[in-house]
Formats: sequence, C-alpha cells, structure tokens
Amino acid sequence: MITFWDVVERCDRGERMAEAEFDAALWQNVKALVEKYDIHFDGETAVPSDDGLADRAYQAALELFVATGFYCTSTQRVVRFTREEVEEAVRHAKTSYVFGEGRDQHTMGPRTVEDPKPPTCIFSHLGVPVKQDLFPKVCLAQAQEQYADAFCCVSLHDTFRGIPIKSGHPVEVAACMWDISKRREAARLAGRPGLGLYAHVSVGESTASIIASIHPAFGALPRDVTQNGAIAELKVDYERMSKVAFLRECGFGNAGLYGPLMGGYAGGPEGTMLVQIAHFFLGLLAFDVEYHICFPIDIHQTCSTTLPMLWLVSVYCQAIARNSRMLNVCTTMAAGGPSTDMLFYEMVNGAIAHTVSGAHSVQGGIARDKNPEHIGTLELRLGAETCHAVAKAGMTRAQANSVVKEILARYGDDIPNAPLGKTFSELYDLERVRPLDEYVEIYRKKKVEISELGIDYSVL
Amino acid sequence: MKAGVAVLERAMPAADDGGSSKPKVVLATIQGDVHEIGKNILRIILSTSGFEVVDLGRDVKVATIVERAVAEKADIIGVSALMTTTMMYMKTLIEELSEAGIRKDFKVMVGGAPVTEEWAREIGADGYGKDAFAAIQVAKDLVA
Repeated sequence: MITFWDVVERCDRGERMAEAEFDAALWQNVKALVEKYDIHFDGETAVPSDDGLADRAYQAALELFVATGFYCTSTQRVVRFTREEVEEAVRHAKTSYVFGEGRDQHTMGPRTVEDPKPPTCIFSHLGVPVKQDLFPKVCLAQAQEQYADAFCCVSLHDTFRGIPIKSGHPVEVAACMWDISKRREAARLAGRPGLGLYAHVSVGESTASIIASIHPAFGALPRDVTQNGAIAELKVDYERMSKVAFLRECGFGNAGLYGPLMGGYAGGPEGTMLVQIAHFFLGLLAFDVEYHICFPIDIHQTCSTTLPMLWLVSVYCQAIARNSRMLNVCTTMAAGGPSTDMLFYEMVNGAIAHTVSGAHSVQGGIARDKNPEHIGTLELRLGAETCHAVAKAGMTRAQANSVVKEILARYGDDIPNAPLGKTFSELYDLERVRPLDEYVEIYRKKKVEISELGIDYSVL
Repeated sequence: MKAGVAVLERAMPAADDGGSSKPKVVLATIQGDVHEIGKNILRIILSTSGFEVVDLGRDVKVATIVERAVAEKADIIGVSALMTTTMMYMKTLIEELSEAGIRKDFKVMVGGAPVTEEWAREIGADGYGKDAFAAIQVAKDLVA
C-alpha cells in the first residue's frame, strides 16, 4: 500500500505544472464527469433517495481524483495515483475513532444510509471570534452539553496578554498552549474530564503552534485531534504535510478538513459535490487522516443550509456511506444567529440531512461563523437531539426530504438577510454559565414546533 | 481557478474605459494566509469592471504589499484573510502605511471569511466587502 512518504516523494518528483494549468484541468474534468455520470440537481429535492445517483457520484469523484490528482503548491507539482492505489487506501481507511478517555470516551464508527445508530454529535463554534476573558465560559457552556460526544469551542481572538495574536508570531504559540489548557479545564468543570477535543486548538495556524500545544502538560489527551485542511480545492502544501509527519509518529488524532466552495472552483452543486468526495481520497493519501470533516459552503450565502447545499451534502454523504466505511463528519454552517428562529431551523435541517444520509454531525457554524461572540448552545443541542431522534425513529430519506423542505420554507427566503441574533453575554448568566430562562423558553418552543413536523423527540 | 477565471473573463464583456486610465488595485491574500479563492474571484470581477488589477498572490508579507502598492502607484489595496490569526495582519498593514506616512495615498479594502464591517471600521480600513461580489461596488465607490 502506498505510504505517506511515497506521497511526499511524489510531491517532490511529480509532473511540474503551473497552478493555472492545474485549475484548468480540474475545472474541465469536473465539467466532463458531471455530464458523463449524469449528475443533476433537480432544483427541488433537498434529501434525495436515489441510490444510483449516490453511487454514480462516488464513481465520478474517484475518476476525477485519478484523472486530476492533487496539487502541491510548495513544489508546483501534480501528484497522481492509480485507481488501484486509491481503492486500496479506501479499503484500509480507519473505520473507528475513539474520542477522549475514561468514562467520557466516545467511539465513532462507520454509518450507513438510514442507519438507526445515532451519529456522533460534535459541538463546535470554531471560527466565531471570542476574546480571552469570555473564552473559558464559552468552553464550559459547550462542554456541559450532554449530547456533545466531543467538543471544539470557539476561536480565541484579538489579543493574548495584550499582544495581538498573529500567525507566525511568538504569541501564537503561547495563545495555543493557553487555549487547549482552558478547554481541558472546561471539560473538568463540566464533570467530563475525559471529553474529547475534536479540534485541539482554535487559534493556531503555524506548525510550531500546533505542535507546541499538543504537549500533554497543557491538557491535550492522546486522542484529541488536529485538523489538517486542504488549502483550496485539491491543493495541499508542505506546511500542512509537515504537521502530518509529526502526527503520524506521536499518535495524536489526525483529521482531514475540507470546505469546497459552491460557486467557486468546481462550479455548481453537482461539481462541488464531486470535489467534496474527491477530498476524502486526498485526505487518506496526502494527510494520512483517521477521519474526515467536511464543511462545504455556498460562496454567496456563506452557509450550507440553502436547498442546493442540502442536496449537495445529502448526496456526498450517501455516496461515502454506500461505497466505503470511511468516517465522514459533516458540519452545518448556518446563516442565522443565536436565539433566532432561523438558526434553530438550520441546525435541525443539517442534522436531519446528515443523519439519514449516513454521516456524523457537527453542530457548528453560527451567524456565518464570523460575528464576534455570537454564540449559543441551545440550537446545537436541538440539532444533536434531532440527530438522535431521527436515527432512533428509523426515518427514511423520503420522510426526511419532506420535513427538511417544510422547515426550509420557514427560513430559506431570509438567508440573504439572516438575523444576527444575540451574543453569548446576552443569552447566558455569565456567573453560573447557564442559559437564561428566556433563551431556554425559545428552545422549548422551537422543539415543540419541530416535533409537530414529524420529529419524535419522545424516543430520546 | 485562474483557468476558470480565463473562461469567465472571455465570457464577460470588458468594461469600456472610454480611453481614460483605469483605477489600479493591488490585491493579495494577507501574510500567513494561503486561502485565496475569494481574492481570485474578486480579481476576475474587478478586471472586467474597469479596474486594472495587480494580483500579488497568497501569503504575501505586509512589507511586500506596501512596496508593490507604492511601486504600482495603486489607488486601492485589497487584502483578504480566512483566519482570525491572519486577519490581524490587516491591522498591521494599515499601521505600516500610517507609519510610512503614505496612508492617505491608498484606499484599503478588506474582506474574507472572518472579516466583518465592524473589524474594518476598528482597524481604519476604507472599505469592506462581505463577499467578492459586494466588494465591486465598494471599490467603485472608493474611486468615485
């Protein structure tokens, strides 16, 4: 089987190509394969029940990856693989991942389409900027959510000890070490000391800061996770692969992170969906990952909860679940802000699509994942409860499509002008780190409303 | 993307500049950041909307952006970031322009996933585009 170091050598010796040429090849291959495999979004369906479509999508993505390879920007070379090499990597892909340790340990395994086993639910506000004083409280708010099988928290932002946190700056290393120590402390304070971290730091980009913060002295557990992201569609660089060289030998968790943009390199929902699947092959071969985290986004709306995005997510998840045992974790990226009706709807829709399509689920990005301190956990809680309820009820994809479309009708038109909602400080008793009564009441009302649409929360 | 760009550029009618010189934009993904798709899309649309664009690429040091903006006699400097840790260099860029006494020579536009209008105001940027498409009007307003 091809190894990580074989791939590194191919990065050094592969065909030299201008980046623009690679981009052209990707664009042309995507376009041709969408046609060849008859991949078509009908403009109406959110969660398709078409096994043939899912299987064609997988085969098209495999052909795309074999034809295109990936691009190493550090060497300006293309790295290619044979179909047999890719298929062998998929056959040997990890089929379980154990988050955390002790009584808080959680095992994530492969899921099938319409699987009655609930997905792993991960709580994350990664990307939402939060200042240093509020950071520990937000971590605690997330860690104490009982449906969180692992957690991630927010992005430490602005300054550390009064110094602006900048990538490649010494303070980035110090901020990362502080960051993980506060997350681990939050897990302890929540009474869940062994709860796994699905991204071990929020503020690190440089290899030095990532590696420094993995030292156990700062609270990292052996199976906490570092995420390695493709830098653009089917592109990697040595900065990311250098982290992999370390992670492989120290045994720390290693996950791939891929967020292709619909409306970007690969065009519409069909092409972007193929590129999303192709990244699983990239992750196995270039990053040697144990599981895969996906967050495809509509480039205009900066979310994944529009109709075309829900279709894209559903088809790619079904393609992976039906054709492999790779561990697929899909992220809901929402437009609405905390405590708004829209955010509850978006979290529920993402949860339904992920669950019936055979994925694990990150209850994730809020308010387009960028607005400082716009954080709430009750929408994430309802999303995770929905994952469990949908799986346990044995919901079919056809049933899911009906419910998702009904919910989409309640928020879809408002996405371009999504309400920003409230901040963490407005929604929580900061001393007790508990959601305020009025926020809990909104959550309760939304749960009743969603249950009337066919999600049976009584099975929880 | 650049190939996709070429296709788009052929498909999009070039703006008629009426023989006058085009406003010049120096674009870059800021220091430490390798994610450039938003910047690339902006380059396409700016190029076909009557602007001359000098694309410095990704992970461009602040000092290089300043040097090239001066050398190109740019009207606008446009920078993007995907990470909260790299968007801090936008602030550094504006501080360095001020320190060099050339802040008023350029309009500075910022954008990218973690960047907000509030952030743009806080660091003293002249314009903020919520996405590449919105940034076009911002650029037009800045040179009007």
